[in-house]
Amino acid sequence: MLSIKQLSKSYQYADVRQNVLQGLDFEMDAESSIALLGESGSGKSTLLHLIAGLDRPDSGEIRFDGRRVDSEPESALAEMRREQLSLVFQQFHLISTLTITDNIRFQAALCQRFDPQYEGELIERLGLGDQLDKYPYQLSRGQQQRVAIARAMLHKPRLVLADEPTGNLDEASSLEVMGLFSDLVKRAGSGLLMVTHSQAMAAFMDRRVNLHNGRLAEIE
Amino acid sequence: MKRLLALVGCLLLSPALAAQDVLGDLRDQGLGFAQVTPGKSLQFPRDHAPHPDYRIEWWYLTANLADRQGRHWGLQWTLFRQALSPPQADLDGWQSSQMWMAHAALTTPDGHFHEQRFARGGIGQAGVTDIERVGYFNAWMDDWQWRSSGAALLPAELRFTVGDREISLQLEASGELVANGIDGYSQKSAQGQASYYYSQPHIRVRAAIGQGPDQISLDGQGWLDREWSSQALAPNQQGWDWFSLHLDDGHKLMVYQLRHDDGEHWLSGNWIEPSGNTRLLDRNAIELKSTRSREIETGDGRSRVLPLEWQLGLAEPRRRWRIRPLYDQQWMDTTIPYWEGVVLVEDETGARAGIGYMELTGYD
Amino acid sequence: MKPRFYWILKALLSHYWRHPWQTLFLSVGLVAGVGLWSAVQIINQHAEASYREAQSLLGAQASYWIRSRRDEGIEQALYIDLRRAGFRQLFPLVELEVSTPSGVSIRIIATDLLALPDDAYSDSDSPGDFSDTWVKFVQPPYRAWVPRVLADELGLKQGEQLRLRDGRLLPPALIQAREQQGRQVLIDIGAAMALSGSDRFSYLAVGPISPRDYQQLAATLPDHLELVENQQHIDLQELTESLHSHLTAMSLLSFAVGLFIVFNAVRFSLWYRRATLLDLRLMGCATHQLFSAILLETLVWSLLGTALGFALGILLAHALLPGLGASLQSLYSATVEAELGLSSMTLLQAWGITLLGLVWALGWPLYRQLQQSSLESGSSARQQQDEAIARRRLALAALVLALIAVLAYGRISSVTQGFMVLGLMLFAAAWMLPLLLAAGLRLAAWLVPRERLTMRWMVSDGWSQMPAFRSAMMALLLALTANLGVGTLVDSFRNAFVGWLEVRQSADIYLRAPRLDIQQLKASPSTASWLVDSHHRIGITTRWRGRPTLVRGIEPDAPDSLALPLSRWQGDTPAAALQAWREQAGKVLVNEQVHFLAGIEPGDRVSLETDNGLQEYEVAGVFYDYGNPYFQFYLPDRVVASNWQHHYSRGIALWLNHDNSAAMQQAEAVLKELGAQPGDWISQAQVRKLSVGIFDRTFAITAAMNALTMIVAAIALLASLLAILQERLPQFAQWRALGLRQGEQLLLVATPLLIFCAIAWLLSIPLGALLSWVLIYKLNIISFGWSMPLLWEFMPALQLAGVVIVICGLTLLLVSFQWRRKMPQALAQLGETV
Repeated sequence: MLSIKQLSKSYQYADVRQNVLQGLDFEMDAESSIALLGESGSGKSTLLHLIAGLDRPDSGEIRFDGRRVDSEPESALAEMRREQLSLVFQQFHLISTLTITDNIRFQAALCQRFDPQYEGELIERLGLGDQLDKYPYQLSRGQQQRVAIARAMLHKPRLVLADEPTGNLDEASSLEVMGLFSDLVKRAGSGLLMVTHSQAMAAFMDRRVNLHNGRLAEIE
Repeated sequence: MKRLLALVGCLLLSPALAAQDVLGDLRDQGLGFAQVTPGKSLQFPRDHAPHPDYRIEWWYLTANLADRQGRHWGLQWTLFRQALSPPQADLDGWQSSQMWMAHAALTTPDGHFHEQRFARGGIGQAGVTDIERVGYFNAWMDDWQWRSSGAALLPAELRFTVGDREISLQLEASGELVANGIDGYSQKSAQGQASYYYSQPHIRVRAAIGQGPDQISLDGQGWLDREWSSQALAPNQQGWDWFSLHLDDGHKLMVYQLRHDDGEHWLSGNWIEPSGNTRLLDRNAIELKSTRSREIETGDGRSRVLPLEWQLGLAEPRRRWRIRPLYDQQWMDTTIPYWEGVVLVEDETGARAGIGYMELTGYD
Repeated sequence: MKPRFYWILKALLSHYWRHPWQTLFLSVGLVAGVGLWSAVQIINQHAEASYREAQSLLGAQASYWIRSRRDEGIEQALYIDLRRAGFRQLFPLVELEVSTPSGVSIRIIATDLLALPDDAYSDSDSPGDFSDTWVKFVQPPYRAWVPRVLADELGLKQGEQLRLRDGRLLPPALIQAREQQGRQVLIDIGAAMALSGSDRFSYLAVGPISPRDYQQLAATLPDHLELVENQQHIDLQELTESLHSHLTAMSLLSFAVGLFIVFNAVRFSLWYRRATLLDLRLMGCATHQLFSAILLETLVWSLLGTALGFALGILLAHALLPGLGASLQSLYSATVEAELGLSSMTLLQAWGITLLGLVWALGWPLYRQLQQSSLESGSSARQQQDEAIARRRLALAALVLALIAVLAYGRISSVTQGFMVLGLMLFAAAWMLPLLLAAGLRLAAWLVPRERLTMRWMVSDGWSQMPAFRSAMMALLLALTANLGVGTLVDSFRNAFVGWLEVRQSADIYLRAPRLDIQQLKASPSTASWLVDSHHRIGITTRWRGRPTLVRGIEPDAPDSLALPLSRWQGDTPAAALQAWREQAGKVLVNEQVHFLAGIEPGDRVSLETDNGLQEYEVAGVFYDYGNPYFQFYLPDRVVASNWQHHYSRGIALWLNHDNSAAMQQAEAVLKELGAQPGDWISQAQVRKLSVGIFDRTFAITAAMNALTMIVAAIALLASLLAILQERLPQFAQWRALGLRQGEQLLLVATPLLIFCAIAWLLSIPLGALLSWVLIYKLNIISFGWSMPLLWEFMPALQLAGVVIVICGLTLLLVSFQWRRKMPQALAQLGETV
């Protein structure tokens, strides 16, 4: 599903050039889940952004279901993100002016893949049934992240990219939300690439890889 | 105000040259105007009237007067005519090219005062009549007026003002008109510049200044200069020093010096005997030198150094005088600024020998 | 400066370097507001200074005039006699009214510069080679001194001769002017006499004169001349006061619109510096230090805004002055100096109101922010609640304002009060707007079908955009309202005026030749083929209730007298009132100015000072008299002739035989034969062209102000959009990550924008109508003393909608360019902790 070859990315900070990714290779199968670990500043988020087509690599190639993410035009990438991907961030980025229902349906509505039955299932599994007519600011952070997860899953994306999805939550709710999240991803048949620095969270995944010196190494 | 007046003055005196060069007109070539030539005799009363074919002309009266206490007073009244362009017969009224300027000045024991006026020609606001045509002499601007009682220049009454002082003069001739230069042809330079120039140095004057109980009565003698020309100054002449003196022995002396910016000045004059006989004085017959210069305030915010004391000598008769002003402050702060005022004449011993008027122009 | 304070200031001010766009908008708002305001102030003060100088003429004081009682001018011989009698204070003047082939009306003033009193020559004349200038001025072919602005307007170059409508040529132009020349062309009196073919002066002016000389002069003057005091400066101030109040009101409105931009920019600068301020306080900066720093910042902005705004004001004033000067001249005979004079007072005032506006817009909100607890965070929920509360408070304040306006409305008695009520009204509407915008959003959300989620989202995003757009929308509302209201006023006026002209100026030729005998003209056999009717008007100028007043004697049976349009009348019908006026003695018709400004009703009695003592007349009717600043009374001509010995001709109107196609040519030939000069008569078409031309010029400044206000509002919109872009870029990036397309993203911003604009536009329609209603039925009557029907048209509102859409489109376009530039970085930073 995802194949990365010789990926390099560097950033220029003032007069210092920092090489973040250096000839990174990576393969990921459909419906698999991978935890991306690494020290802070090692380039985990950068890799995620490159995969989502939010940023462009210096060299190397990224293939997602055969499409060249590294070189396709922005409009095609937007199409890819709405149809095939979901992004979940530490900040939940809910739309404050819409109700919870609307927030959950948001991405599905964008790609017009709305399955009411699945929606009901998600709401029930995530325990959001009482919150549907509320607005995001009326929810706790744990609840808000569940909404973000529901939004990410409703259109059954091929791949979910998550960046510290529980970083904003306390440990207990983190575990609870993570359990739900990985379970939902599995059931939907989506792949999950999750950036985390928590071993506990990483334990939910099929594979764990470590990003160090711009390259990935499998953690057994 | 100064600047604008200067402009108007230029209008009168210098259409072609810059404002600063106020005497420029007198040097102008005068193309298209009648030219002054020798051998043309003056005719009276016709020549009292304006000569519009010539560019410039003036009726210039000075009077040395004394009050009952014997103090010196002086009066000056002048009417200037200037043609902006050679006159054309069909242009009259507002279209006339004639412009008029008038000066009046009063030297009192307490100070010197002056006034200046302008008027367009052709509309009757200012002018000089032709005696032959109207039967009397009349020279006027607004309410300033010299008017004779008969078909001659004198006797006449002259009324004018200096500021708010009303002045009225009774003028009577005590001698004949004098043609200056050679029969009225007065040469002004070796290059040929000349004017027609006659004088009436014999005028008995009775003057009244002010009205009512404060009126002051004065007596004395006057001097009228009449001159017209189309080009009076040579290009290298900057100005002149002019003297008209009433000597106590009955002689009258007119002397002028046209100052050259290169070489020797042009000197000329006339020695007029009590009998009326006149003799042209040429350069060699006159010795004129300034003996003292002083700086005076000239009213336009600056001061000027002027040669205020002179020594004048003649070869024939062999005489010498010292000339000094009654007082220094007799500056005419007019459009063409100049010094014009009462002077006292002393002989070599320092005794009083006469009185007169001195004019110093072109000191900028 | 203490180092700590320096660092605080540096930290705060660095914001403006980091956000050049917002800095630009803050400056633009300030500069535009101050610029428009000071432009009008400069013009007003300049005009007022010119009125004060109406005591002077061409640089010479003119305390009195000597005029012919019969408007016949003054003989040259008499003038010379007076000068020779010692009245040197007098100088002659000739005034001519001419027009160019294109219908531009030009006033010529002529004098003898050599005759001006000494005080005429001040230091203001520029140096140069004047001698030649003056000689050429007084000598054929003469020179016409044309002020630069007029020359530019006429496209006249140095040395060119201006050709007049009737083919005459002015002397070669010299581009320069004397004091108090205004828009007039100055020529030598000789040139004027050659031009007009008359040998008389229009009048004589009397310079500074002692009481004794005045007595003598009065005693010397022949009976047919009168010595009148020059009261022009007082009259002008009184007559033009309303016009200047109107302009001031418009400039204050512009200033308000400018302030809205400032508010907007400030809101952004606040939002952006929340963190900085918080950090500074956490680092131990005392509130008073921050406060001082902000005060200093305010001061710096006020100085910057004033300096640039004033400079803009000067430029604008330069651009607007010629038109206004022309209007003042044609309407009030006021000479407004063509060259602008500036006063330091205006500059100080400009600084004063700028500082005041800034303290209010920048200082106060920042101060309030400082007062808040340093740890209180501005969560979006909290913001939304605050917004709702602010909206309600503002609406409440708006209601109070509206209530005051309603209560005060009935008590308006002066122009200033009227404008204050209008101001209250407009601000009430502006402050009510946020609530209406909120209501509009709710309505739109309700209208969108539930299943259209993205559409609902786009509508609901309006709540996030509202704070940024609020002040821009208020600015837009004010600009739209002013445009509609003032536009309606002008259209109504133009409509009424043109209609009135058609009725009033029904004659074909208007003739102004005082020495032409109308009876001889009528009796002449040569007129039979073309002349159908004529009307010889006579009149006198006097003062009534302290104001310049015209008493006209008109022929009761002339065609235009029979059709005189009345606004109020005695008896049943206007026709009956006119008939009574024609047939009964002791009846008078008065203009609306007499009705509105002096409170005279039909049936009232008015007393007029005549040669036979005070005479009473009963008012039979009130006639429309648009744009006339004077009181006017119409009496039958025989009444005027018998009561005022020194009446003079006010011109002759001739009606031509329309069956005779050559009537005009024949008429002109006969008039020339009878001694009338070309320029003594003018055709109906030309009169109308001139009248409408004057009208349009008068309101050109209004149109300019309207357009400028609209531009300022457009800038406010752009500023808001860019602020939204700045503030919400991370949010937009997130949505892009969700797969939002660029077009959808633009739509997200455009939808609320269009909803808001639509609401502002909709509200501006009734508000504009209300504004024009008050302007027409209240202020115009108080100001000028005449009425007109309100002409409401929907087209201007539609045009404005178009303008708004274009503005929105342009600003969105600009914003999308910005997006394209900034989005990649925002996307790259996605997910980072802010």
